[in-house]
Amino acid sequence: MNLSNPANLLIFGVYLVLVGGLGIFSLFGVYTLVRYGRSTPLVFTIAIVYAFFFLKILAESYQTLSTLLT
Amino acid sequence: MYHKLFPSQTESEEIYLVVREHWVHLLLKILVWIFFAAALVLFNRFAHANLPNLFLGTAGEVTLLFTQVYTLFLVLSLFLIWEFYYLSTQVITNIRIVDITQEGLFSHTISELHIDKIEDVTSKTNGILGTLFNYGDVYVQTAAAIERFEFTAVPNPAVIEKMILDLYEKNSNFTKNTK
Repeated sequence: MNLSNPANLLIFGVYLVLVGGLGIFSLFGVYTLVRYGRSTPLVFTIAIVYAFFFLKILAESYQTLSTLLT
Repeated sequence: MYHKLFPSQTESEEIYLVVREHWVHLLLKILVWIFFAAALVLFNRFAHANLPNLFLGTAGEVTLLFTQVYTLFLVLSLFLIWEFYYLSTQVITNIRIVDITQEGLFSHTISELHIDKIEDVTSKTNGILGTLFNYGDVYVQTAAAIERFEFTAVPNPAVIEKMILDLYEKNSNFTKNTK
């Protein structure tokens, strides 16, 4: 990833803010669900399925970003 | 194993009803979500057909990155819609009525009302969907500091109203007999 270019740095910054925000909300979302959801199997299943999809798309988007900023 | 539905629940407390918003209300929220998801699908179809340059070279990578971040937003919002629906419950026990509301990620409210504080119960079915699918609001008037206890868009509001009134009568008869 080449961040010496100002345009690349800007794209990286915007990506970081957006995805960082979504990541923090996701983390608190899962925490709130597990904390107040009385730890039932349904709650754990939903939390794991959500985390799997979120991380999968996150990894793909990071891969795209890396290719874009090369 | 004994799982508490709310923090102050006692082991001997009998749970009569655990109720959430009617699924139609959840469906309405999901329909709004589908609108935003459809916007992405339509964008992809329209842009592939009419703006092929958007998917080539650097522009293509920027478009792909945009759709991936938008998908992350969609996945998160669907998760939060379900979470707020699931965590907002109303519980009726032999001792009290509990209203648990998850208003946001950082806002979790638990209100309790003891059966003997009830003064009046009203159920209300409103609108076409409410009438068709039999859901509505139940209002519990109290003598306590919180003047009105509200169950919003719950299924079978008339049944819940009767249940609360029966519990109140049972409780007041019990109190009279023990005096």
